[in-house]
Amino acid sequence: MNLPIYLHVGRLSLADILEYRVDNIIRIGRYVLTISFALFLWMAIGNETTITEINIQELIGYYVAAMIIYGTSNYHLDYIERDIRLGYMSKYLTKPVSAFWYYFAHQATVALYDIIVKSILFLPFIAFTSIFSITTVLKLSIVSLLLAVTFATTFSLYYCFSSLAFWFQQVDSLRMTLLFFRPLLIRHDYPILLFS
Amino acid sequence: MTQFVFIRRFSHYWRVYKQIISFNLSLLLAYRFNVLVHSLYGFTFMLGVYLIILVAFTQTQTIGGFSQAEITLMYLTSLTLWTLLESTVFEGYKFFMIEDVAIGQFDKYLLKPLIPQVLVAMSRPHLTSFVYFIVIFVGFIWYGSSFFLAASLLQIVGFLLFFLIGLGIHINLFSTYATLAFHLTRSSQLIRTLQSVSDQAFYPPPIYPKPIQLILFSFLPTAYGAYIPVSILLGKENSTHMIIAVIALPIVIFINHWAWKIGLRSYTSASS
Repeated sequence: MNLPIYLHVGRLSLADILEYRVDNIIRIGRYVLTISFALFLWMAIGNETTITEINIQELIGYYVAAMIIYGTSNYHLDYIERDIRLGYMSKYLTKPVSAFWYYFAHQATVALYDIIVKSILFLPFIAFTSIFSITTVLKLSIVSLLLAVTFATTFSLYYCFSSLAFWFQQVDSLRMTLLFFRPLLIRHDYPILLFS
Repeated sequence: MTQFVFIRRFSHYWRVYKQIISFNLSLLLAYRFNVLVHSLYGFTFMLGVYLIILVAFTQTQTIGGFSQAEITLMYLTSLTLWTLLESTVFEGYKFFMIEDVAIGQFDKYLLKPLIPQVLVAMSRPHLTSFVYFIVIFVGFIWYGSSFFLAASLLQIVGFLLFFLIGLGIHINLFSTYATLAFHLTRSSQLIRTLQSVSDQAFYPPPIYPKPIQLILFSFLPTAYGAYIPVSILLGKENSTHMIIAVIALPIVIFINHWAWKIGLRSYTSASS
């Protein structure tokens, strides 16, 4: 595996994100708004009643942490299907790069960027909660490793589905069949205690 | 104004729109399994959001002074508005921002003796969303019937009037946002923001801090689509919010008209 090439792909992806400044600011605004709406909803509930299952601070900490790492599994690879359909995939046949690792490097950069931006944005919320007061370096390392494994696994799975575009015109539905129950779990980022 | 020209020549536009719908229908029928899965996926997504309401009300009796049944009605109203928007104009604006201007597709609208702004809005009717709209609308009527029966005639008329005002504000604001495509190379994140916020921001705005409330009454106008009409129906209306809605509509229509004028003036096609 030619690592410098893929690192360069990652740098290019980052440059691409940062190049479109207004779009990027809107993306950051979206992170803030979507997370804030849920947080303020639960804070409003916390003001009206006492949640017995979980402390409101813990709930907020859990939710923010879950939303920060959400990007490791929540993405679509429909651009790969488009590349296959339009024949852009041919470029990988003439270059000493693997299509899989090329897209992997791109998507991993986007996911890492998401995590870093969200972490910075929600640092005040994280500081407000007690979630990191019990965290050790070892625990953080294990979580980071698990996140990397989650990303690699979901990417490989989605990539398999996208590669069906070699045979089918529309593979959206096949991918969505796999993800069919995800909308029901869309707020899986809430502690499971609340669903009891 | 564009809206008045459109209304005056409605039958002409309707003939064009029918052809676009028929073309989209044939596309849908070509990928039937795809459409079926997309439809089911959309419904499970809506159900997922509803589950959050259920979970929230296991912890409290009211949110912002509204009961579970009232919040559910608010959610159904919001869904009715959004599915109506998505089945008619939203996809047109979305693809206009993502690719029509960037790759020069917009040129074709300028060659026709019709208003480009209207053609963009009706260029991509989303028939799967229309199925959602029908189902949600039936559900809304079924669920909301008890509220309508309990309300006075004035409240029902107020609900309908402010729902239409909310719809008008949404369409004109989205149309205004679409004009960003004339000035920016990439603006697709805005579309994603509008969609993701609409799933969460149907709760009563008073539960949020002032800056967020300000956003819900301006840039992301979800408050106009569900909260204000439902509040009127339930007799919990806030006269300030109603006045803001009535004033906001002509302002947004004017901004939209002005934004398109500026955008069209600066557009020189993708090839130039």
